[in-house]
Amino acid sequence: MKTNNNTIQTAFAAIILIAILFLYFYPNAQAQTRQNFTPTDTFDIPQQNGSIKFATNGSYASATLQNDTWIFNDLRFNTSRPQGTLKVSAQNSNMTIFSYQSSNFIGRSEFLRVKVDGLGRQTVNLGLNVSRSTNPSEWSVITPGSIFLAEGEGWKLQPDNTVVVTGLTGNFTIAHYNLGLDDDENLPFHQKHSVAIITAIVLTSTIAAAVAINLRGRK
Amino acid sequence: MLSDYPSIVLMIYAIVVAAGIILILKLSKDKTRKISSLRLFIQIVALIAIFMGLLIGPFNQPNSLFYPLGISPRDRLIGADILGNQFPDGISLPILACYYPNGRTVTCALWQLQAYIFPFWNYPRGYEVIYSTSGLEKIAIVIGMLAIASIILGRSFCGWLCPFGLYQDLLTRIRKTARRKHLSFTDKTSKKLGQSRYIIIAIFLILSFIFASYTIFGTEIIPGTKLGGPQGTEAGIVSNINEPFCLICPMRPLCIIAETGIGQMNYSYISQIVYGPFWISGFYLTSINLAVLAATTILALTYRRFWCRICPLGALTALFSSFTPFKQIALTKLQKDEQKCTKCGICKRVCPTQATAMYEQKGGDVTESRCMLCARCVEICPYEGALKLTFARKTIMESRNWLDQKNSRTDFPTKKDTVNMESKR
Repeated sequence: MKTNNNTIQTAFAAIILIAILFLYFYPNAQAQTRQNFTPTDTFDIPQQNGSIKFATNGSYASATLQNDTWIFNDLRFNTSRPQGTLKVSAQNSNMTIFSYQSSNFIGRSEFLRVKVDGLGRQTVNLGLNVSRSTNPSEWSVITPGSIFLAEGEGWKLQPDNTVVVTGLTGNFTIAHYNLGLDDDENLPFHQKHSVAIITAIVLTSTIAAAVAINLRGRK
Repeated sequence: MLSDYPSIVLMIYAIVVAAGIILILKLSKDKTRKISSLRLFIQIVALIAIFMGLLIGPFNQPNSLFYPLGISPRDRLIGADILGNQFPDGISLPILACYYPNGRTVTCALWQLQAYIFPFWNYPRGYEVIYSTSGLEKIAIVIGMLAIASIILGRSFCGWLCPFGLYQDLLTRIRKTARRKHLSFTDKTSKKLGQSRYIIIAIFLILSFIFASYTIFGTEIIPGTKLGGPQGTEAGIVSNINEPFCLICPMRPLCIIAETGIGQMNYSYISQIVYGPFWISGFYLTSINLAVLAATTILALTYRRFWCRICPLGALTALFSSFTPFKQIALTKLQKDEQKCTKCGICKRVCPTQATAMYEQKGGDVTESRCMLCARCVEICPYEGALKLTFARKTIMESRNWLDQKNSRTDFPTKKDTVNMESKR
């Protein structure tokens, strides 16, 4: 009986070990088809006299230059989770990307931290996971000292959710807060107010049940 | 299978918790500590559950073993997933737990109330004014959720689940380890403190309206509270004062320190002196937060559960569970059997919030607004069935004759006995 127990325990431990090893090597196996980049790599945009660089190591599934815009598919930094598709361009300036958080991260906010050298024009599309045009109030361009620039003060939002930055230099962050301002606008009433309806139903049921329980107890 | 990782974690957690509760109930031999041990365990369990994302998040990095398992519960924003865009900040509960470390799964109801008051109507939005499309509806939902939680569990949220309650209980344990005796307020002061909670919550909710005056009335009552504005500094100040209670909340620094400590929040949010008036020391934290935390810590070392006596969130819960008409229908109650009570007064002495109803009132429902249903009085009462904690009229816990078993005595203790027993522990 004791031997059987030992065998079961050993088998169990072995299964756990194999599972852990599998989990450890699984992402490395996936990563083989990806392209790596380092801070020394420069992505030039010759027609615009601009360039894009990354401040840290990372990788992407593909990077293509289309219409003077670099499109990085499935961008990842060594210290980050898988990100989405980032589209950036720089005109008469050099942009260094420090960090990027797409909707894949927490689903409700996206940002790009950059440093720009040269007075020029940059366009940034963070690859939002929304089909609508966003509202400028959902966006912030933040300069050092936590100064939040309003739209028109060096940046403008395009209908395709691309942010166009003009004349800003140095470090700044382009951030989007997706807190569902307009997502529910076109839903039918019961879906648009489902949380309120469910809360009202649960509250009514709770009160009814509580009254019934207390009345029955008194009798 | 891998994408179900949060569900698996939660399932395993539930099994561990159930096993833990059974073990405590089976193995704990000291009847005067059994409920306290169980309560401590549940407080820790609740803390882990509320902030589970904090614990799992750091392991969910690319270089981590757990990375391929998928995103963590924190990143899933469970509340947002369940409630959708209508209510992205998580389920309102009467516990002090900021929304950012818990991934907006459950959220402090007071924060939500203030946040939804500020952008009351659909005014052109500025930075941080993000809930304006349906502020009134959201406020109604928060109040509804609070009412549901309070009718079902009453102030046991404070006694059994609130992370800040656990913090104060741990301070009490430190005091006991140092063999220092606690101080008590006089009954009159204790009652006054209990009443002050309602004034405190009224002040902060009125402040929320005042800060939102530009949104609501189109007039800026306090300079600098105008929405948005062309310059970010103004909007930044607004973002800090639209939740006035959060500026003084003692739990906020603990949440931020915990999140920063494990690298889930930028340290500069605590350390950097940013823009604005003197009370803002960092992006999330104010010097008032830190001062209130320090004062509460010192006071909680001296007076048991000091903060709970003045906590406005506890007052909100009490409103929905301890006052008529809600008191009549509350499901969790402290019951007293007058026939079995000898008025020894031990229940009154051990109560961490100095509630007195279980001593002063005659039999029946003795739950009062100061009582947080921690069941310490039930645990320590040596008269079989004199005090009971009931849920839906079913007894969950009741007092036991622990003196009889411990000392092989057959006679019930006198007041002097219980005083001696209590002073020894």
